[in-house]
Amino acid sequence: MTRKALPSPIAAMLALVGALSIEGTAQNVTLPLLKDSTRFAVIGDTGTGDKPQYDIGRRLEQYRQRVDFTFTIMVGDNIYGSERPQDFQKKFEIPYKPLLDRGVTFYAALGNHDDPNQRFYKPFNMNGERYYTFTKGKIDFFVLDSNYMDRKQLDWFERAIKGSKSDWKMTYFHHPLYSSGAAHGSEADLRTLLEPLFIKYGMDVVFAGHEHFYERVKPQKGIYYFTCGGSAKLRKGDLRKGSELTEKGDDVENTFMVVEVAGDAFTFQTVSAGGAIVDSGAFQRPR
Amino acid sequence: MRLRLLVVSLAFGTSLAASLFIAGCKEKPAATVKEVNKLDAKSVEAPNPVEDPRFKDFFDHVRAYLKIQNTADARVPSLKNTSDPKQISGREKALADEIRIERAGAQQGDVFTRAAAKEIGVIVAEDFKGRPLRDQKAILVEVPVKVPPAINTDYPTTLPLATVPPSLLLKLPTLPEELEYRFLGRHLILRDIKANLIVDFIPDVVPTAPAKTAGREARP
Repeated sequence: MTRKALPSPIAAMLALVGALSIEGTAQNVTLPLLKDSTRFAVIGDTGTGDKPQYDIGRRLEQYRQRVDFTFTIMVGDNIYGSERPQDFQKKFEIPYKPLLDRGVTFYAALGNHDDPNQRFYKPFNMNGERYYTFTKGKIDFFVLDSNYMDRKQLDWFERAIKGSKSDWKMTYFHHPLYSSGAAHGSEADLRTLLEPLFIKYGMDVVFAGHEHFYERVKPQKGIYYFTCGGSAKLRKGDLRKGSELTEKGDDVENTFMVVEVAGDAFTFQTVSAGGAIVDSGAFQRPR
Repeated sequence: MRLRLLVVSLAFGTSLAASLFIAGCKEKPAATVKEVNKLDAKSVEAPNPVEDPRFKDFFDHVRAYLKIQNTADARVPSLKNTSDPKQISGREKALADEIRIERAGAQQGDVFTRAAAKEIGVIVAEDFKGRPLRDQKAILVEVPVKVPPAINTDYPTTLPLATVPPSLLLKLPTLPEELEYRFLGRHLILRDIKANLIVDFIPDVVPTAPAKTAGREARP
């Protein structure tokens, strides 16, 4: 089905939900695909080198062919266990080879299983920094190292976000500030330091991992939180049932997210390794 | 025709729900979970002891270590962004080897002087004491426990780097970017980030911890 640019994000979303209603599976669904939109994928806790990671890698490539996302953000735990050269191949380069071959760029955050020297690994685009920022379209991304949130990093982050002129401000790091995980849960300590800055400087969306499942948290103080840490590992049944935080969650399948930002509209789909749509939706950034 | 109607009604229903979602998100945000405990809030305002005279000796030793690291660093090829991970791990190892040569015979307490270790021990103990038991457990959940630290050895590359709580980090003397604090078992280690080397450690600084792990926030 050929899509034309739709007149408004709402119309685009209607088209999306219409498409979802008809098709029902990820392979056949396209986001609004508005002209000049920014599209990216989100993966987390990936670096196992095991079958689920490869399954998600294949599914990502299938999805890229339809959605044409141009970059992928990694929310940490990029390489589990040993980090020998062959591990970088097995746990990153091979599973995502089709994406890398097509010029999809990856922007990594560090997880608690990552050697900080990964920042020198060119395909992770960290430019030798544990924390950094980059811009895509009208989005400023702030990539933090939540494993070691010292004063220096906090000062840097405040300076960086204070100076941000982009319409959208998004951040990602490994540890979720809000989580319904039974094994880990919310990182309240980290939240005390970061949330006031998010609110003060207008953060729109926060992505994290660490929890090996998918969770969309109810907006907290006007900020949207997604945990996407099940792109290779999976902690089945870890999402606390009845948690007041959860808007939508999935802890039975490996998942990844695809996001499209067009103007003031943020549209997302969360897709399982089997190709089912686990979650989808859209919202608008307040002006 | 029937199919078309079904599709239209499904799309309408879903879009209505989605629109409500949009409106709901912005106008009536969900209630937040219980706010973080008061200890954490206090720690944000805690003075950074970087210039505290109690740590003067410690920082002298840190500077001395950095001199050694710089000397070693100059002997190995410089590390730039590379697509070859072999260069990253090779350089890490080469740097660690050079540092080991430079500080052969180094002992526990060489950088963490006795006075600094005592002060840091008090800071860590008080931080833990002020945390709910559940929070203490959560901090230690991913701390590797089976490997005792040893000076001038590599931090085991297969183990996670346990996260030091940010509010505790803000109370500890701020380190230069080449070094970091980490927990290994009940010990606080000083780790050289570039060389992945255990530079020094304070033994048994973490209060005896409950073994079982749990989430950080009380279940609703």
